[in-house]
Amino acid sequence: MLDKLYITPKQWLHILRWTLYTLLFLLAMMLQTVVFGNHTFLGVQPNFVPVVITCVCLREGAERGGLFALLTSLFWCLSGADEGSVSIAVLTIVPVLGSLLCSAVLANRFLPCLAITLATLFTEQTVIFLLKYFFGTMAGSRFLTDLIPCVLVSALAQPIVYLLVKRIERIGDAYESQ
Amino acid sequence: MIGLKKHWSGRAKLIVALALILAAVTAIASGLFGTTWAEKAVQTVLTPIRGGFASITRQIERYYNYVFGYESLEAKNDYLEKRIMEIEDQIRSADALERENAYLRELLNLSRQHDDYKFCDAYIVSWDSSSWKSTFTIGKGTNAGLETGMVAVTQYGQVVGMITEIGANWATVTTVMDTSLEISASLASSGHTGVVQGDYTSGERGKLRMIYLPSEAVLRNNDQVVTTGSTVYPKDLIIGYVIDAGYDETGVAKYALLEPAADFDTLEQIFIITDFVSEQNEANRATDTSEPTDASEPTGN
Repeated sequence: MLDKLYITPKQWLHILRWTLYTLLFLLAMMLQTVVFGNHTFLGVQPNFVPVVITCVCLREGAERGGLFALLTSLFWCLSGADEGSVSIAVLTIVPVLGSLLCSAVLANRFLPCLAITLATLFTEQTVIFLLKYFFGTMAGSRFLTDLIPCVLVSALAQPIVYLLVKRIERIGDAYESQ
Repeated sequence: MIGLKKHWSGRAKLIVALALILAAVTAIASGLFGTTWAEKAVQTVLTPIRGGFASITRQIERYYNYVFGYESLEAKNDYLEKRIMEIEDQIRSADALERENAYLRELLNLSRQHDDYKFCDAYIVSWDSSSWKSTFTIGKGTNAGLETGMVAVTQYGQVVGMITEIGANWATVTTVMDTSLEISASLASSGHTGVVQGDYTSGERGKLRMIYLPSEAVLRNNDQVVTTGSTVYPKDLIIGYVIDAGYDETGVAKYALLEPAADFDTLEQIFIITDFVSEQNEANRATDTSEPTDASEPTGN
């Protein structure tokens, strides 16, 4: 009974890895909502959360990464994100599909990750934009003036996030290879 | 595509399906119930974290502004200092105008009481006061119609002194506290006369001495001492108040120590009596007017 409660060093490293991912997600969330909540960066409000979710999902694979994407996007939605329920669907499905694509066709490297991050950001923002446009609360011209710059500026965070995720992913590599 | 199908596992499908279901459920729940308990729970957990993060952000912003906003703050500070100087200058001007207004209002009362007086106002530009001298300079002179021997008073008609030196745009006024100035004066209550001069002998600075008072003169504290009237000093201008009295060295005459009526400590603006009607002046004027008439008579004949 007690043997089952024992946590192996490998498991500790897994916990540490996923804790660091979670902290990275929280950091992105805080940066987005607190720091840039009432400030702009290069004229737009950047969107860091999709970047983190996508990077983690791509590095960890469609299953584990997908679960992380599902839980974090749910948390993101419940925290009062402007994107609402759309974020759960988009921030899970697009990274999962991206991860599958990377695994099957593309190499799991920086540039494919950047492309999928851009795709995630673009899809999420476009869906929200279309919904708002459909309900008449958004002018069509803002697609070019707000949406595209937001996607591009948010993607600027991708290299840093990618490197951080790559470093975190390596935690426990020694045990994995054994 | 084959590769993609190979990686498209049941778990991945489940995750995608769950994402769609959760998205739908949260959308419906949110639409039906507004803020759900789950949202409340997440917000409750996040609020202290956000609070701490906001606090750190504020500190960093302060530090950033301190480091990078120093130049702009300095420029802003310079601008604000200039503005303060301007505003202070305006306030000073307003204060000066207010004081001048009060002086002129009092002077108006004095003019009503003595409609024969003609005044010229002037500001004190410098003081030249030593232990043995009490004079000051005003910013007006002969250009303003002033002459030596004219009397300076306050807006309340209190004697300040007399112009003793004059230039085109300046004049030196020797105050009543200077020992060189002697003014014929009388006690307002009893009418006893004497001479008032500055007192540097009693050891009390800023006091006047009224001498040559008859021994029968009755002196009381706060008795008013006024000018008796002459060609120089108009009648009944207040010089000071009795604060002490006694017999002089000869023992046959009395003296009185006076507190000057004018407050020299706060004196800024004075009024020079440029003309007034006195018995002697009237007589002089009558003589002056009669002379041309006399002279004109032969011409007229």
